[in-house]
Amino acid sequence: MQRSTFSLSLPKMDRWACVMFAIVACVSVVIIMMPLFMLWLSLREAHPIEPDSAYSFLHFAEVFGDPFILKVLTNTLQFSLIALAVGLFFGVPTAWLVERTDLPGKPAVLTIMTIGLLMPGFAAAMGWLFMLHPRIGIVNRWAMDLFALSEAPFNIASIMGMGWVMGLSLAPLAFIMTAAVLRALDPALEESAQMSGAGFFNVMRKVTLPLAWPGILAAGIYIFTIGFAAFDVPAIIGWSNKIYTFSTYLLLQLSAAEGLPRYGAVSALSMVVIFISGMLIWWYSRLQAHAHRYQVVTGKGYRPRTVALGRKVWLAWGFLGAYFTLSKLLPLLVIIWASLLPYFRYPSAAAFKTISLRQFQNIQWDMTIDGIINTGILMVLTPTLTLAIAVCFSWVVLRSKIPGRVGFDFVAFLPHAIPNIVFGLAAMLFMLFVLQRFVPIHGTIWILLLVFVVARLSYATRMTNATFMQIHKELEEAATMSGVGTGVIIWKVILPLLGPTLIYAWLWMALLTYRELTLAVVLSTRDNLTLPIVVWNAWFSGGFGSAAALTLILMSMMVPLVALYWWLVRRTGLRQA
Amino acid sequence: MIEVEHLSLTYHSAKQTHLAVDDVSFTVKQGQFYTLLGPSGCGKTTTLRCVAGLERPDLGEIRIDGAPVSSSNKDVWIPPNRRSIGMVFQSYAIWPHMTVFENVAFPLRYGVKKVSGRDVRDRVQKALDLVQLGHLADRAAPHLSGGQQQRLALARAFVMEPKVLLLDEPLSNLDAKLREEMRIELRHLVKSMGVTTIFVTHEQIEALTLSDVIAVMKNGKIVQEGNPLDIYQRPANAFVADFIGKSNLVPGTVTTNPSANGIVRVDCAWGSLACSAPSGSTSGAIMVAIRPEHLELTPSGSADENVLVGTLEAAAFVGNMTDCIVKVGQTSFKVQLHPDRTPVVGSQVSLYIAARHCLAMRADA
Repeated sequence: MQRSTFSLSLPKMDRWACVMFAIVACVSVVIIMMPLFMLWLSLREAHPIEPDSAYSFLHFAEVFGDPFILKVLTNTLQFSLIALAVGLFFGVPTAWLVERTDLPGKPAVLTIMTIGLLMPGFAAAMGWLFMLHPRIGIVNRWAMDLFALSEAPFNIASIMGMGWVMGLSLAPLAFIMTAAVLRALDPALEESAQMSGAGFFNVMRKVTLPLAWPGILAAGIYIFTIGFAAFDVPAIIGWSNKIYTFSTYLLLQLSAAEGLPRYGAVSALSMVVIFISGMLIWWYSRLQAHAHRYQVVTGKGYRPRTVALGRKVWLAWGFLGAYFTLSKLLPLLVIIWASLLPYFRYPSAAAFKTISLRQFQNIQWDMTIDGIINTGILMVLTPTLTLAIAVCFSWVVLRSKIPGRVGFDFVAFLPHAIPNIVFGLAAMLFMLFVLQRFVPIHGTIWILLLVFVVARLSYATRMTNATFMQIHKELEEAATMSGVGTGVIIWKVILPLLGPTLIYAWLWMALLTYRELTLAVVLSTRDNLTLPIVVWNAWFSGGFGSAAALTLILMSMMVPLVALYWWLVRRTGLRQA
Repeated sequence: MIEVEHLSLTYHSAKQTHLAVDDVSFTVKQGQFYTLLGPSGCGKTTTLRCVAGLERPDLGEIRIDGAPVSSSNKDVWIPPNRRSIGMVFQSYAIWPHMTVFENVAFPLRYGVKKVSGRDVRDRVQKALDLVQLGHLADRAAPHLSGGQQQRLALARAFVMEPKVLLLDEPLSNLDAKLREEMRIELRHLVKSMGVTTIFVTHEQIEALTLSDVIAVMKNGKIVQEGNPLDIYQRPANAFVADFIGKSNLVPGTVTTNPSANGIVRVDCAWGSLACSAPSGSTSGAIMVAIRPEHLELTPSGSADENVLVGTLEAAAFVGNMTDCIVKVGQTSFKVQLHPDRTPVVGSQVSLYIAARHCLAMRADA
């Protein structure tokens, strides 16, 4: 019998399968085009509007030859290392307290972490600036008065200070990731060491830490990557004090007052950053795979050995309380204080007399309302669209028989390796020089929607992939044998089964979209303001009191969403978070 | 009714290719209960999934009711949702977010042949009554027991009144006692519906009790096809003899031509045996298969041929019989004896085997 090419032909797909595949293909093209276009810009010697140009590594030479850019890169590395250290300092002990001790009131830890979501990074940065600014900082002034110092003892406007604030906001992530590592460790391994006569510290040193190490290291790299890409903390604290990390430096270059923006150099620096970030992500996934080797999958519910805290429980809660106070409570109080004053000043009897709600009245309400409406639209559409696309991706990657389908999963993960500010920048350049000719959406909220969706796709596909893999394939095959096509399978079988994951992921992405500053900052104009951008603009025009008032409005509007999120996560437990 | 011709399917993975189904052909007649039996990885499930349309074969043709649904030569491909085949999956694949009623109504509401609202209710109720789940229609599907889920899966497969029913190891997830009950019920249900059925299993006892025809598969090929009695009594080769029931397999050499009643003499390690050769002409190096229950105790010193003399090495009482190991020369034989007549371990025993139960067959599958 002759061997035909039967098996090589594309699987015949019905209408819905074709629609999903088309969506995945189009989105993939957009994702790939953005960094590729940036690469092209970085290699092109002339300005993008020039029709002809030579290609070389000129801009890369520019980047590596510029001592200021190299300074910016070392700043960024120092900043993210300090942030990582601070994050682990608060996160790891918290994870250990929750997972391995008899700490009373563990659900309260979750509540604290969730309330923390209310405070966007830029708000915490504002609060710390008000506290530790060398000139106006409350704590500095107090210390100077109290100890008769001639100079401010703290300076938040430094790499150290910015790293500290960033680290505080990364601690919950460090906590969640370390808790997952500890949870995956089979307590029997520790118990058998104990039965062999090892004491608490020896078990910790010889068994627990070595076993948890790959997981903690992986978490460390992941957190470092986020610190590395951070924008809002360095922007709020560093910008006005001329201390730049690469993300703020990129924006500085774009908004350069003199001459044309240096698109070539900016693109070259972005490519360097993508490379560094990509290597970190690659290292992380390697370690992750390694860490899984140690994991003993425990389907059975087990009760891990818990350390009795005894009287030290006060110490434990003191530690947690200190974290909460430093990361959330103090910044919030200071922001409230700032919003009530006509201009920021040190708390005193005289200052108390000037308290009023005038800052709230003086807010530019027309812009603010525009911002609220735009943010509202984006907050609903971004998670919805992202999840719809993510379901298509998961289906194509995990369920279709399209050749090369695994490649699409890689594409969906690509945005994760690109720092948000670079991603926003790539989108802006792509928009400006390519897409604008076909779809003129520059300066509208639709460009924001496009970028938000693509940037969140990595997270969304991780969530849908994980749940998809838990759905037994035979559930879909049974539907096929019942005589239905792909569309009915998606609507009647897959979506209802994905339901809980979709709701959780939707809420989480809505929260992130609501407070998103980084991606919006590059792409914002007067016509597509979002609420965080309104805050940002107020801050940069020097209206600290007005920015504080706007931040409070932003945070109070987040309360219902965070409450809903808290309720949902409490129901499903910490595990899902 | 179902004709499968020269079916082949190769799985490609990054590291290797695996020929899962290798030139398989068979025919299932109208109303027949046809079983694909074999160890895991033999290609039985893949073959079934090709008939369902869930896998696409590389080569070959499948016809249902005379019409090709998949053919590599004619480039015909009917997608699985248009084949109107009922299927029960190993995991039952009961949709957990639906009630019992909704599960069964699904094919009628959304399937190729849509049914109007009133008829849906009647037909679902009928299907549920058939599997004795009528009183549980409104229950959430995950709240059913294993046996009930299995019946529900059957009702869902039946409700479309398909001409063909495919069963993929449907009993393997049930506990032993329930499995025995469902075995009888399944055969009864399928036969009363008159639906043509292909059943996949690795349990020989299910195959023997349920089937009209059994096809034993190994390494992607059908190695023997026949009715249960044939397969059990006249296995075509050592693999079938060992896989269906237990067999003692002893290598030997045929020394004579078959006699008038089909008996040949075979030289084995300890002497010569008179054997029958059910699978036709046999010569040269062969295997002799002897079932443990066919060896009988005989008084020692009996002059009869086909007597093995050895030592009783071990005996385990299992209720209705004793499982014994008898060592004859260097060969250990599994023997099943009546508990009352089992000698003391260590004693010498003589075992007789009738020539018709001493099966000479090709060694390779």
